Amino acid sequence: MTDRDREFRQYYEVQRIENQLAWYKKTARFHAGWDNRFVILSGILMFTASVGSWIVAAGWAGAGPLAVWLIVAALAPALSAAVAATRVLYGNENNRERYENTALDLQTLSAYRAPTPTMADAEYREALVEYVTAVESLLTQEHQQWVQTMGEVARTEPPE
Amino acid sequence: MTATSDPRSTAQSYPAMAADMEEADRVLGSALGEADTLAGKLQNRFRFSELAIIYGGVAAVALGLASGLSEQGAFSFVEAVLTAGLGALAFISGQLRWQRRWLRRRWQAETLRGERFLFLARVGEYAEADDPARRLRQRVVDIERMAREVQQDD
Repeated sequence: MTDRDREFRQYYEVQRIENQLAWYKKTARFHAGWDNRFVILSGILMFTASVGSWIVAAGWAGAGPLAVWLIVAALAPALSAAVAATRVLYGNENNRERYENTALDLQTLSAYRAPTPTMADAEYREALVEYVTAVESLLTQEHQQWVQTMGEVARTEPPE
Repeated sequence: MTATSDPRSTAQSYPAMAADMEEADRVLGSALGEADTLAGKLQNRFRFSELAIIYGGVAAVALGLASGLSEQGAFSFVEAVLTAGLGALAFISGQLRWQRRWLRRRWQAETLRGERFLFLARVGEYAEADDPARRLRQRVVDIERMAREVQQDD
């Protein structure tokens, strides 16, 4: 292998592969954490709403002022819907899944498609070109899917 | 989607690529930085407007409820003002295309980031170009033009 190809391989591994892998893993964890929080909060709010509705419908004075429960019964579903909308806005579920999958694909490419030092110059060069092309295609595909996902979460359409 | 750190690097650590790395920094540096910053700003604007509309809607429901339960007209007035404000925000967000511009600029930043590696590896168009640095400069112009095709946004 030439000095340039050897240097590029080292540079690429650190600046592209490891950098992207760290980012995908960190961001997937972030989305997974918030996805769980939003789902739990939404569920708690819906449960609260149903309790409030039941108390108001039963006229159960022992539970406190009925006006308060009426407000709870009306507001909790609205808040639950708002939390669900926030979850969609951030694309937590889709982003987590896509980042995890891309990280796995990237690790697989790095482990099995990267050129090895024992290759002859021409063979190394060919393997390097294939490797970089495969990695960049994977990342481009992930970007396009991200644009698609985030373009669908609200009103306007994504770039073509 | 993206790694946050800039892959610009110390050319000294890679002497065989030093000249190309400096050229890539020169050609891509400001374009990538600008696209990245603009994408971040547009993302914040879009998300702020969406969150304001979502939770402002909840506040409007609460005010409507308070208005129904009490005799005070102030609640109705505030609700009307809030609803009008949210409507205006939704209109502005739609007109200024914050979401679309954000996605465009993020796409531009990520494409430029990838272009750096293709150039340094001499892959694709750069493998066959007589002057890879010139080809890179042309790519930056093309990518900027594509990012602007949706609308003028600066």
